[in-house]
Amino acid sequence: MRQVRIDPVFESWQRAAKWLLLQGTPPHHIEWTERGVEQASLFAMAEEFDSDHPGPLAVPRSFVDLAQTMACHRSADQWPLLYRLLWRLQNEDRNLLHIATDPDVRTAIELQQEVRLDTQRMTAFVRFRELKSEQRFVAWYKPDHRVTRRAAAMLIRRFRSMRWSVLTPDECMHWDGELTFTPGVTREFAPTSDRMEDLWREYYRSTFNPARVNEGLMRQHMPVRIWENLPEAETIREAVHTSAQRVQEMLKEPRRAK
Amino acid sequence: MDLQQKLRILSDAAKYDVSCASSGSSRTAPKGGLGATASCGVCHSYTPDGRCISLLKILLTNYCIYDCVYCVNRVSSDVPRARFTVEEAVSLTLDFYRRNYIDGLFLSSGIIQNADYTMEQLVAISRALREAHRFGGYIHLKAIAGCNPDLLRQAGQWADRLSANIELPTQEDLSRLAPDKKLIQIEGAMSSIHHGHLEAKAERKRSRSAPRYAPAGQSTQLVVGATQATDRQIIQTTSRLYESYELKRVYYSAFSPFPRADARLPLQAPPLVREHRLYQADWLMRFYGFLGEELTTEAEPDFDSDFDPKMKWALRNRQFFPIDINRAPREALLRVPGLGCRTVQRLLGVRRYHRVTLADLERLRVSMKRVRPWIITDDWNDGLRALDRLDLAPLVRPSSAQLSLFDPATALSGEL
Repeated sequence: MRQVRIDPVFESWQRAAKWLLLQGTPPHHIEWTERGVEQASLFAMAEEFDSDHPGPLAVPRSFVDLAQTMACHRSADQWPLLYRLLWRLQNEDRNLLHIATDPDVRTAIELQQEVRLDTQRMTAFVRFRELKSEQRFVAWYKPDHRVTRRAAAMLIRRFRSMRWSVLTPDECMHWDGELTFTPGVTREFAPTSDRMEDLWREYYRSTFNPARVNEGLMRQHMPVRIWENLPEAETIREAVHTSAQRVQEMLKEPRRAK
Repeated sequence: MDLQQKLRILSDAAKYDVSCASSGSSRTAPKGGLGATASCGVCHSYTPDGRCISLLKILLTNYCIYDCVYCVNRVSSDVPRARFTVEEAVSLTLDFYRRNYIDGLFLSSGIIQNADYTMEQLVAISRALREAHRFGGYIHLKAIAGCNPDLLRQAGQWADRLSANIELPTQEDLSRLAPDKKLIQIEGAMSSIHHGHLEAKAERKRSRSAPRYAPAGQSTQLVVGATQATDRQIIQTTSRLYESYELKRVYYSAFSPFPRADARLPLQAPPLVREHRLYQADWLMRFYGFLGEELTTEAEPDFDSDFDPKMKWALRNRQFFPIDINRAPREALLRVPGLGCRTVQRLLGVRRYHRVTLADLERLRVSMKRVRPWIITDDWNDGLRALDRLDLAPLVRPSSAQLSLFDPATALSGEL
């Protein structure tokens, strides 16, 4: 059994995987561990592959996309799975990724979808607050997976002419016409209010239809753990509680005959 | 009246328009501007009714000279009234956008003075956003039926999507409940928009730099359950609209009780499952190759609350089955109950490399109960026997627990 230590990023895994593949190491002979989380005594013997990788390796383009996306997953389950897929692509079937019913492929697609969903959520649920003194918009967000850099492109497209920062526990990104990164911070570093938030809450309350409450459906799309990030979330309780009453009042009002 | 009160009144009045999509367009703001649109839009929040917020959905004003019975803003209603100035609507949109609350603006209005004047106001707001503020986010404008076609030409220059609401499925329904609206006028607006789209497309063939016209196309909405119209009539109307004007979407809005309603309206909202079935039928027409008329019959003009329209079609057309999963063309696979678009796509990929079995279908999370009677795979050919059973319907009926948990979003994701 070889113990292999990598940074939890695609490039680090890729470097190690190429060496291991070149040396003919089968997947079940490798134990992958992420740098920074292992217990020193257990993994004192772990190998690291920091030298340059041993040249190009022909894999389908779709595998690179898949691997780059899965690398952002926080479970750490993806490293052995990715190597197994790579091994099978090389030694078993070049078309493996088309076989969506294969258990390895299916798990990989699920991990990929979780990362994609989390990226979408980040671009949707980031809420900027204006820091007047710095002429900058600042948001705090805690993504489930390491998707901050994946979300950057979309945010830049939308807010190219603004100066903004998104703070996360992993890393912070800042846009001043170019993108820079600084280490992660805690929530306390972000501003706590914004002058538009009362209006936004007013809009949120008014735009929903009390006759059609479906709280389960809302939670499915907007999980409760995200609510702390949303200025509108504090009105949800009240809105749900009063909706039945609002409908009753509507129906009790005198109806107008023509 | 302060801005907050106006916002309350004018967003409350706009909420019965259910469209909130910000997809189907792709633009970026000019240099120094704000915002962008992408082919798949972003839902920035969800309200407790489970619907998404991607746009700031407001009316310019809820004053209205019309007296449409089903509408909360009709002239005879005594709801509080308000009107935004152009500047207010513009700065709300920009301020919300900068904070990432929204993808853009959905702007509609009650009819003030006349159709032309109202449409001019809507065009002025969208123009101010695009020209003065170089706004690149999404704009959905309501096309006011009966306005000068030239105004719609201008509107399409600024907007990503235009929509004229058909409101009710037949002219008789309109005459009864919306005496000021005429089907011919509403379809006139749709036709102008369609022409604008065709012209711009032809222009762009000649020159790549020719301006686009409402790149996200047009949509419409109709209210379900406010009149006696059958599902068959509704589907007839929508399939005609899809064909004649190349609509991108038809939205169905189950009639919902609102304050100070007219006595001619039903007291109860129709069951949401009816709206859900219409959306499913809509998906079958747009993505599964079904014709509108196949989905119901003269004898059974309404959808079944127990079965989705595809299952119902299968039960009526057993001669079409069984379908061999390993051989059938895509069009046939799409007609199998329980196989959604995405599953069919995956199956086509898989079967190029190996023979599909029932276990494979299970791994793709297909419901065995729904799909088994209709198919043949390498390890399953019982389909023929099941197809002759008179009691097939109860065997494929979803359990009641599933029904009560049903979720309108599955109609929006379109996997049937």
